[in-house]
Amino acid sequence: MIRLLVVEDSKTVQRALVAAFEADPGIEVIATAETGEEAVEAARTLRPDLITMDINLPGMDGFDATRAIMSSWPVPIVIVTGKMNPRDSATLFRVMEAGALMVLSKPDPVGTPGYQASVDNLVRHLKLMAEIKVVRRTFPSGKVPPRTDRPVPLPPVHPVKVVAIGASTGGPPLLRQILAALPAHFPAAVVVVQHMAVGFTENFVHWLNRSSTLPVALGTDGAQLVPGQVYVAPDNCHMEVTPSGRLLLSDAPPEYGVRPSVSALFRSVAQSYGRHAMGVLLTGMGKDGALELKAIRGRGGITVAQDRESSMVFGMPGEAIEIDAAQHVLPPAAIIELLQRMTGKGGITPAS
Amino acid sequence: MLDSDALLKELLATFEQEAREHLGELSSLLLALERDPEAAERGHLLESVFRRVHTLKGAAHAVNLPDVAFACQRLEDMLADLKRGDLALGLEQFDSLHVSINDLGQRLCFGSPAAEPAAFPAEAPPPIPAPLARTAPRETPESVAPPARQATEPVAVPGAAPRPARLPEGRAVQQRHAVARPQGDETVRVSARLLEELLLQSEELVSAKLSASALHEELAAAAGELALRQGEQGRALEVARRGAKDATGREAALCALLERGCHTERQVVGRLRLLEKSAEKHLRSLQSMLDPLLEEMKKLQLLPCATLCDPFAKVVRDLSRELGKEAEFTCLGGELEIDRRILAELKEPLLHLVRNTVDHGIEPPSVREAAGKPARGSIRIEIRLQDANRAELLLEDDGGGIDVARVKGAALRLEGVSAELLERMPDHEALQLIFEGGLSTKRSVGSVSGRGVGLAIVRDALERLGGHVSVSSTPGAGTAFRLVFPLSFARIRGLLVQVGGRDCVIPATNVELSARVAHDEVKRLENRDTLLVNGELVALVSLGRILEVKRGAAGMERTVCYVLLHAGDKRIAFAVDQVLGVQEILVKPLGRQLSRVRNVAGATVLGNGRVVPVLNVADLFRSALTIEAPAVPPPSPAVPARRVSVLVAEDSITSRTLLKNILESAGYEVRTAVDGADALAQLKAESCDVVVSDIEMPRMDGFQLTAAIRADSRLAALPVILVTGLESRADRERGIDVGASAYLVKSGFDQANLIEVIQKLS
Repeated sequence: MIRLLVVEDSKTVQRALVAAFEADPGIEVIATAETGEEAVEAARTLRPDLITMDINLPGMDGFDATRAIMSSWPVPIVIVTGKMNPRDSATLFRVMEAGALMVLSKPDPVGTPGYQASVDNLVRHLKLMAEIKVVRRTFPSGKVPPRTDRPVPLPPVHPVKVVAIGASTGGPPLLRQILAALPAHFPAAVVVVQHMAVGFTENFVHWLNRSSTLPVALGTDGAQLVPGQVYVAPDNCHMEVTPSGRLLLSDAPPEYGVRPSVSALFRSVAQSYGRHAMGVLLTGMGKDGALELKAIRGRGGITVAQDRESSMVFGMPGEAIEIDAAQHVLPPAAIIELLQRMTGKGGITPAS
Repeated sequence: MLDSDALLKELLATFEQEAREHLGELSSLLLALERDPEAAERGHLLESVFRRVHTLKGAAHAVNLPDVAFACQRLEDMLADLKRGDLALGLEQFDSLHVSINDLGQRLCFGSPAAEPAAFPAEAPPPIPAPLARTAPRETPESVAPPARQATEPVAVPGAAPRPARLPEGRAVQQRHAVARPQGDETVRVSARLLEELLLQSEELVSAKLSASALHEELAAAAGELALRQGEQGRALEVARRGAKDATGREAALCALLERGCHTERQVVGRLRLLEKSAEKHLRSLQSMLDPLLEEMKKLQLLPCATLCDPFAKVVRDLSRELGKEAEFTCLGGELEIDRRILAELKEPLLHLVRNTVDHGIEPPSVREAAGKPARGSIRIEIRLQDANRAELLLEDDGGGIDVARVKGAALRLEGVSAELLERMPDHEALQLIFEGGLSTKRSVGSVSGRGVGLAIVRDALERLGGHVSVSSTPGAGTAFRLVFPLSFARIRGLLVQVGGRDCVIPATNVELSARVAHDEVKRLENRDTLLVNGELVALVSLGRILEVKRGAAGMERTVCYVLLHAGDKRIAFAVDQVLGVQEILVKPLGRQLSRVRNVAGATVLGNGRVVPVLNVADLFRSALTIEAPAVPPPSPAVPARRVSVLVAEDSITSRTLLKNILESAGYEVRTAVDGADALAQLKAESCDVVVSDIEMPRMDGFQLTAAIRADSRLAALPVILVTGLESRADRERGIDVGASAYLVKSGFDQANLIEVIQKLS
């Protein structure tokens, strides 16, 4: 039984959510809160198993509440919100930096045909999120911790033309960090699959753009890959790369239960770019992309998996490591450094 | 699976409440913003506005009202621009925001939007170029890359420039008093309906108290009655005992029975006394439990007046903008707490008065300036306690005042008042005419006022509450409306009186005193009855007449019992049959089927379960003043109401007595004669209305009597009913021959029949 705390300032929406959640026998709504302060108090006294949080709250907002909770009584927190204006993406993803696990969208209105399906989807995700063990976060500055002194091993020299990154739960803040740290003349095109609730990918792209050194855009079908450009897979489409260097969006069935999937991307990258590819598998639940990371490795590309300590959820990278798909298992700082030292001429400049 | 229909309904109910709250708050926030606060405060306020609209949008989405959500979205976008400083906050923007809020309010009332969402920008009154230019590109809220546009648009905002000079003037400032909710106390939100139900139920408990009181009284009365017989009982017991000693057999038994009877009665009296005591205790404990409970419940219903007056700031602002005037609204005394239901009743009338004031009272700025007044009119509401039970609300403006001549003219046109009366009427009294239905001094009927209905409604509402409204005005300087009303509803003290045999209740607040005077103290003055009360001459009117209650036997009383009532500053004495006492009653409205009953304000249930009307004192006064009351008839000396007299001629004592009894109990006056001759002799001496005669009588029988009566010129028309045991056709025919008016056979006789016939003939 998942003990759930619902934080939402609109009474109407609160009622709707509670009704939807309580219909599931595996969820028990133990309390509701309407302000950030109430949410923090309820988290402290009731110790729920999971919290759904709205960002838009009177007084203390969702971000501060999440921070407060994650720094004292860490609990899986999921943002459940309506569609947001892309220009307000910062607010949205800020909360993820504060420690929220993922963003989900509110269910369709009661009485509409899509209602039940949207509720089921939401509940399914909640159940998954409830499983995640979260740790107490400290927020000194949010900067990337300094890299360890262990030098990063240098792989054989092949020019990397495409960097493919796959991430799920916990991915967004890390992706932002990575993209913000890349040099302006990055020699490769970057293609990204980030598992995201439908309707928020645009917000995500917007948000990434604010800090990324490279321009970030939603991938469009047939687009020509340009080095130094970042392409993010849009909602509900697999994004693949063709040997001719174009993006291909497909509505093939979901893989590992998701679409877009990292596996489709990695597979196409392995096939189309082989040893000129680099695959990075970051934090996330499940196994999406692990096998395909191995495929990239098998074709001579560089493969990296995020290490256990820094992963929000060690599912995907863990699986990759398990099947020996990753050449390197690195913390975020090291991943960034690895990427930073890539040059157009091939290979990676030696560490100084 | 959820029952989605039930869920949706529940959600819609919640949504309605929530939306109302948000919109209310939004108006207040906007008004606060218009006061041009510091930049930090402004940012904070804008953020609050944005957040509320956002929440409302989410809620609308949840209950599947996409149009409302869409409207919120547009508002949100505009607010986002304002927040970011891409759009300057000028008067047009405020107007547009206010319009949007109003529009949202409209949509929510009607469920489906009044207009297409796409037409939303066009709904804004006088074209507002700035927001229009902004909302156009926002047709596709999904647009990904607006950053490029933002840079150019601020230039296209013309409204920004004139802002600094105008803003200080064009705002409705509202002096706010902190809503008096104690900061430290925790508060809970309860549905108003639940609160209402609880209050109703607790008020029903008053009836329990009243019945307990009635029960106690009855027990006391019963015990008292029996106690009176103590003396008799004692004697009976004595006799019984003495008799028991000497008596034998049946007498002894009788004595013994008597003795036992007395003993038992004593015991019963004792038990009754005990019952009476415990009924008293019961009553007292009920009182001690209920009174505090009811007091607390009453407090639950209290709300500060500010909740009534705060929305008026926006009303004044919107309306004055619409009419091209300028007005400032202030409210004093908003912390005063009053029964929520009374506030609810006052809302409509006050709203009407306020709108009226802006429409009629405040002059256009040019006129005001020409008159040497500031261009901005001021409308002020002040609320204060009059005494422990009543409050007074003053609505003052510094506008043009009311033209009494126009009022008189309009009243004349209405033909409600005669011209001479109008001539003689002092100005301050004539002003009150504006509350008459149908009266309007406005030359044209506008959408706001002019139909002549509104102020009458105001007066009705106030009087329904047990209060009143009056107006005073100084031409050119301003007008003031004075509303007086009770602080709380329902439980009031009432004077129970009896009028024309019927009970009714007069609210005690209107009763000054009641007394009984000798009939000759009533003087007739100027065609009215008057009384001298405490050195003052007051008019005396019969309450029975006003209530159109049939009076019983008129003029039998030697004394007049009256109650002196006051309404406003008038006093009138109303004559009643008797005053029964003061009671605490629960006034209930008459119900929807009887929305307006003359002279009756409501009804109440007495302790004994009877339903009794509660009178509307203001109506009584009005009725009293319009009736040309005839003199209260002096007691007609010893002339009883004329009854129909019957002469019964019957030789058998039994039959005679029987007939007499029957007829007397039917209300007739009966004389008897022992035979025909006696009857005739009596008739010659003094006539009667009807003769009922037997046939078989000595000396002169019925037929002969009838013939003789018909032969006498004085008695010829006298109805004669022959009642007899003779049932033969020949006899009947003989009866008709001699001129009998009716022939009844005794065997087929029953009293109803006889009386019917008598009635027909007399």
